[in-house]
Amino acid sequence: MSASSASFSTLYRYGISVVAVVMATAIRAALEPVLGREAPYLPFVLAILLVGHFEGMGPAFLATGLSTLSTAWFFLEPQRSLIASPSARAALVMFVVVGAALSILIGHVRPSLVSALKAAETPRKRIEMLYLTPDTGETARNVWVKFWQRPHFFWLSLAAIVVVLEAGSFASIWTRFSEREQWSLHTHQVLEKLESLLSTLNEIETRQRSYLLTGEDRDLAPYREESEEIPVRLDEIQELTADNPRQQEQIKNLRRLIAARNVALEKNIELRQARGLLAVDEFIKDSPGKGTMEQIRKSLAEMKSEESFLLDRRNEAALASAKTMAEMMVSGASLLLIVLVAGSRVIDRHISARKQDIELSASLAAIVNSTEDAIIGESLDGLILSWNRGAEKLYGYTAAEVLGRPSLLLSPPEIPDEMGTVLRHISRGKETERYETVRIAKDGRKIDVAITSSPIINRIGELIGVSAITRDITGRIRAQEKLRESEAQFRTLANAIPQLCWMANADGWVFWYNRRWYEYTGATPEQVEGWAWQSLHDPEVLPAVMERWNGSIASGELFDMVFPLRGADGVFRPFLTRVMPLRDKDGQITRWFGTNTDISEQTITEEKLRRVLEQRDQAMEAGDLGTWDYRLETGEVFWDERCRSMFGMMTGDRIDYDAEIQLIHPEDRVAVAEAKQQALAGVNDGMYHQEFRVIWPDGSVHWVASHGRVLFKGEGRSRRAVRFNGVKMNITDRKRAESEILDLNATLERRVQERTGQLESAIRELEAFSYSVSHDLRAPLRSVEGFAKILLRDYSGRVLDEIAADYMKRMRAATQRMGKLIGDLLALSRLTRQEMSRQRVNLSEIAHSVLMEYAAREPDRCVQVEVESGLFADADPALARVALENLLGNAWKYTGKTAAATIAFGTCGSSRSEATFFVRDNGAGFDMAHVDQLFAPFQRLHRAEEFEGTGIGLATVQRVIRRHGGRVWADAKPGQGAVFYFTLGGDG
Amino acid sequence: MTRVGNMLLVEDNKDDELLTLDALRNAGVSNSIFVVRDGQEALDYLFVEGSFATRDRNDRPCIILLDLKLPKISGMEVLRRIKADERTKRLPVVVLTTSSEAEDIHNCYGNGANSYVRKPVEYEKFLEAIRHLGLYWTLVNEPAN
Repeated sequence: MSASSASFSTLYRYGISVVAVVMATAIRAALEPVLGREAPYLPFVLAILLVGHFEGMGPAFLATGLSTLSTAWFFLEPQRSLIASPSARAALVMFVVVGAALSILIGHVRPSLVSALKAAETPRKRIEMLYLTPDTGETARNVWVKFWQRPHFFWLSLAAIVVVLEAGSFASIWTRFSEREQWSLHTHQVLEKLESLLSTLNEIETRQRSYLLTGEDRDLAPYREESEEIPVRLDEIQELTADNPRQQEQIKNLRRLIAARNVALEKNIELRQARGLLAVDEFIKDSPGKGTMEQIRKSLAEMKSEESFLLDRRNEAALASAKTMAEMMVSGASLLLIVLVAGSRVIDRHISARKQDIELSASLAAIVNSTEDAIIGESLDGLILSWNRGAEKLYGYTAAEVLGRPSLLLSPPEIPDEMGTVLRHISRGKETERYETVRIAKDGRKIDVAITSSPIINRIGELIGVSAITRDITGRIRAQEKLRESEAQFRTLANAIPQLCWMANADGWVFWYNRRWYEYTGATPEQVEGWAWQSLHDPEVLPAVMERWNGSIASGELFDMVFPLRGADGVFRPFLTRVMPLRDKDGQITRWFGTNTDISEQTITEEKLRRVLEQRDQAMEAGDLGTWDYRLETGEVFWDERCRSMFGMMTGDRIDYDAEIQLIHPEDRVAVAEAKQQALAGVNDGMYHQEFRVIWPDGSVHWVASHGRVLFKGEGRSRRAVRFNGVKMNITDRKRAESEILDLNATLERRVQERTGQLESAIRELEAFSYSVSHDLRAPLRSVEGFAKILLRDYSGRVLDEIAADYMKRMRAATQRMGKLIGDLLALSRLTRQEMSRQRVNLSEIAHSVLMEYAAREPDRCVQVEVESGLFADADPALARVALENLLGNAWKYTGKTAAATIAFGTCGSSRSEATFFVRDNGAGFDMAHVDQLFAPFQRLHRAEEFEGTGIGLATVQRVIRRHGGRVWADAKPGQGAVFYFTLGGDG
Repeated sequence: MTRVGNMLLVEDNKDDELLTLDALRNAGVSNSIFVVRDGQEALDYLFVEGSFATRDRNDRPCIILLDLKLPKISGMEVLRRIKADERTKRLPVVVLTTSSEAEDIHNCYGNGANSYVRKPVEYEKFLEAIRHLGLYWTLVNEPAN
């Protein structure tokens, strides 16, 4: 493709060359009427120049060749032939040489110059526009210098001079050569004329003789015509040989001879006309005319030889000048070639140097333009001459806005003199030291800048302006502040961290420690500076530390080691020590930064962690727990050995979600899959608990419990499950036990139902019994009692004597006691059957009302009652009342014989959360030896004669307290009263 | 002066009958007291049926003293039927019983008993109870002026 296009382009270039030559031929042909034979080469030279200019050397050479052929064919004598006269041939050679020279000059030198200029044009323009100071001092000398600095002008001039000299000498030789040729032509003309004269003379004689013989007039006419020609011819010859006196002499002589002969011939004609033929014959025999003719012939021959001699001489001269011309042309062309070759060499070199110059300038311009610094050129009178992009950026002015304006524009009004000083300084040819000052941007903003000014010197060493490199140092100043701040922060941080840290020079000399270091070691800065820290090391470990540390200093590698350091308390603690080299931008270590981290805590933590992990592993092993883990994002699956063994799998067996499902008992698969789906959907916070059967490859069925949880990431819409892991447990044994338990439970349930039935019937019987007791047992008692009363009432004194009456009374008392016993017994049995409803009960109130009842019943008694108010309990109100009635009743009863009776109800310090209540009296009390009988039904510690009672009261109290889930106990001493404590269960 | 009516005592226990009558007399109750021995008799008497079919239909007791524990038909059932019948439901019924069961007491009042007197073992207390009863319900033993 490229090859073909290249060859096409070559073809095109040479085609253009052919077209140019054709056009030149046409133009030359068109100019034929104007120019004639002159300047046949003119359009062709133009064609060669144009082709060379546009298409290069090759096509120019082709054009030269074609032009030569075209000129030879169309415009040189003889036309339509390539043969040319010697002089034309020489001109052709000259043309070829000049054409070739032009081809070389134009075709070779120009394109390289053009391409170089073209390559450099854009940057050069930019340089000129933005940076290069215009040459204001253009002098004649400058022009001359410039000219010599451009060698192609010199070499072209030299070539032109050679061409002109060559052309001049060629022209003179050419002129001479063409003169000789004209002379040669002239000679030929003269010879021709002489020949023609001679033949005319001979013709005249012949005509005369024929007339003399015939005597006829018709033969006389040609004779006359011819004779008249003679003078004309003589005139012509005379004219042609006018420059040759000898020939002129000859012609004079010839004229004389011819005139003499003409006289003789006229005489003969007259004789013939007068005397006839014979006289003529006679006349001819000894005619003087015969001698005249001979003289004429002789004269003509002399003239002819004279001309031939001249011709030969002239031909010789022409040949010599042609030779000179050829020599000149060869030497001239050689000289031209030498000039051109040498010139093109020098020009090439100059061009490449110029190219480098331009490239250098371009790169300098690029640097100037791309630098962040503002680079401003100023004339000596303080006008801005150049303005780079950095300046635009820094000041905000575009080049167009400031070029030509005074640079004072950029200075703040308070320091207007600064530039003047700099200019004065510079004008003495010195560079200024870098100085820092303030400048004003377009928007009025003040900028901290550093300026370096240097003189601008033109090519001939004249100071023409000042260049100021201006750098914005606002950032640097801020950076310095920042650096100070960051150093302060570093110190604060270094002093705040719990680690010990320090810094050392590149050679390991420690020059700084943080506060924590001194705190831990208790050392003073002097004690540990440099290498003195070794005193804080364990002497046994120190050599190893030194070896490593010196190794690090030598190699520049990171130091990382654990070693003990002695604290202020004298105890060595393990420290993880890391030392990092800080390097400058060349990679050289500037200092070392070290930290010592107390890892004794960490060591303990690690140990703890290790133990926890071990415990976990042991627990997992002991609990036969296997772990599993589905990484949902990566699709990775981890099952430990125990997990696999629960599925009857081998170590290497592949496991994934589907494989797991496939191993599950078909009846459980759906449930497991659903449970997993729910967990993955986030139901119940992703918790997953499932028990299922697994069918092992050997066909046996095993139970597995799997517990896990799905971990989610993200919130709301982006919430997604990322991990699903947990444990698996082989629960086959448990399941077996469970099913056994289920069987047992079923049996048990059946038994319980049976027993409950039995119990219920027993309770029914008991109820029936109680009922009949209340009726049937009482009825006979009532009869005995009733009739005894009637007997006493109606028959005392009449039928019954004193003794009988006393017996009757005893009977009645006995039956009454029996009735009370039955009543109490029934009440006791009722307690256990009665429904209980706990509620908040005010015990203080109940106690108070119970005691009021007693007091009302026995108004004569004087008892001091102390009831703590506001005692509440969570209890059944009726039962609570029963208990208090009994306890307070007892207290009331057993203080019956105490002089200053006191009964108290209250709470005492509770050991547990439930409150402990007490009922205390200072009555009869009892012996603690019998305390175990105290709460048994029908057991009494006092004789009935002392204190009445059925022995059911405390049994009732105990039953009530027990029903509430509480406890009741007593403390007493005979004669000193008793205290009954009770709790009521619940939260009191 | 109110017409002095009969009292009907339903009591199967002879001892209790005697004691009750004695107590009533002692309390000054002068009404004639008709005694029946079981629930069936009580109902027959009240509704003039069975062995009492020939009895004067208009002779209605002014008060019925009813023991709960009765042969054949229990006292509770008798009470229910008395209170269920238009003819007898306005008759005051005093339940006399040895039971102090809360359930029994509750059922009695629930079935429309007008009073409930527990027969205590102590005769004195019984007398007291009957005395109160008589004063309240019979108003028969007006002291002769």
